[in-house]
Amino acid sequence: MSLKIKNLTVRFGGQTAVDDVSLDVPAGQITGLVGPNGSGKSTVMNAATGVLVPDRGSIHIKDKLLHPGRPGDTARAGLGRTFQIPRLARRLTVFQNLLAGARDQPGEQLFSLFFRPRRVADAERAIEKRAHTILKRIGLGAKLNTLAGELSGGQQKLLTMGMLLMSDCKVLLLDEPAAGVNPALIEEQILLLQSLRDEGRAILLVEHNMGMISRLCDSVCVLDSGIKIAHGDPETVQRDRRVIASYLSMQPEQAPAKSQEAHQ
Amino acid sequence: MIEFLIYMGTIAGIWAVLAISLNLQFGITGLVNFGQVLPFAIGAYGAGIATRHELGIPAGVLISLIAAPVFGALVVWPARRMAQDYWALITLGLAEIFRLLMMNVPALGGGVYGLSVTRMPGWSISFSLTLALLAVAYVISERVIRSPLGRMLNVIREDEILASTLGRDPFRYQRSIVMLSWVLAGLAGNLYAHVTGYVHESSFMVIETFVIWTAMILGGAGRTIGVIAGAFFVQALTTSTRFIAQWTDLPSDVVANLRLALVGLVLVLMIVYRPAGIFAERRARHVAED
Repeated sequence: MSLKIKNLTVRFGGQTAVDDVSLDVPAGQITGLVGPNGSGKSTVMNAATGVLVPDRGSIHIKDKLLHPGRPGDTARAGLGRTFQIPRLARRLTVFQNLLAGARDQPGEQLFSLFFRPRRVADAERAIEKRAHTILKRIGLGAKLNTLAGELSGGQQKLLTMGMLLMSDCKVLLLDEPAAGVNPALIEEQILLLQSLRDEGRAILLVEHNMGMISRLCDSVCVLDSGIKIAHGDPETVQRDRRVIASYLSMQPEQAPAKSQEAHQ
Repeated sequence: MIEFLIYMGTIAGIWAVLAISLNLQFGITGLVNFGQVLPFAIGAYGAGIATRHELGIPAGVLISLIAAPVFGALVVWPARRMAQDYWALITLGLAEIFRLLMMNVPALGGGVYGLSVTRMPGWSISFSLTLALLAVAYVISERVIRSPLGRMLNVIREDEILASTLGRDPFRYQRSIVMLSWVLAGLAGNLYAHVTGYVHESSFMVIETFVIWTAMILGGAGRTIGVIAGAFFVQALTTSTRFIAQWTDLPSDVVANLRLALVGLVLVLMIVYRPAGIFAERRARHVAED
């Protein structure tokens, strides 16, 4: 399943946050979305996940048009996202958070809960089995009964990815997974993302860590002030004068031909 | 004396059902309901109206059983587009509107004279029925709390946006838990009317909602057994102060206010020294796989 964003425009009052941005996030690839702060990356994310209604443009998953402004529908269509500041049920345990990620539990309805206890119990057993597998995969096997709020920031980010895997999301939108995470955990994230990509998932990665971007991404899209200024493989994009200029807040002609800063 | 204790137990049991109902809404789902007395009143007036029209006790129970969740579904509707704080105000206001309506429209709720209701033939029957209702409420509450539904309600309590990014519609979950818990509170109201033998608007003042809140917070929001203990504790506290009042020469209105002040003091001490309540919410434990 792939994600297609077509001619997306979002305005906040008189301010155009995203201006006619189109972006393909193909299955089995990791697509990077970079740009300086305030360039519109998060707005693209919010529009794609149905959190806000765009002024123009459309979002498609596997050629199916998504109804704007309905995050629940978007999630059910197979699109999962994480947030810069991880969203978790902090007073629930790691394992409970994972279990809550599964969407195929009839026991969340009152009727099934009271009148079909067998089905609920069977579903719960299957979900727990899945959760154990994912728990190992995200490297939190020992943290089963730890409260999610007690995990480190990096572990919380891994857990939110695990929650998306519980419902088998085919398209993952990750908002700065490496920000504020220690290098060892970033390595773990990179391995996880590579394996998710190899399973054929489509991944959109918003990240400021250029090392991570160049190691992981098949292609990178650069936003500046809501406009897409470059799109291509990471090497080419990093040499692009307009990209370097936008990161250094310069006019393109003033930018150095290749800047070390752009790699940081 | 034994009869008095049975009466106390009956009232405390009914309040315990109300606390369980509030706990499902607030302790588990995070819905701030400042009008918990409303479903209770609806249930009680269901009994009153059935008696007035000579429909019989079962019909009255049926009215309470249907009216309470229907009102619940209507009242929770605005929560769909609003922050939780506003729902607290809406419920607070609606409970008071309902009470004033019953007071001022004699055709509905008997006005200031209230309605008389068929009284239970004896205290032991009232007490047994209360225990039965409490047991049913306990079983339902525990089933919900320890289920996938309870887990998702907890997620909604922690973060509604998280629930919707996980593909859930938080409002649907909130609506079903409000309807379920209002059924329990409505039944408690119906039983209360049959225990006291009349329905009067003065039983459904805003203060009653806060007595229920106190019971829930004292006992420990999130734990069924905790909120039951809380309800009995609050009842014991307010009743025992009545006896103490008899030994002093203080005027009765001063005593009534001191009693409220005492409840407030206990609540403050509890929040300062044991914010999770007497019985803190339990953490789920899962066994690691080899």
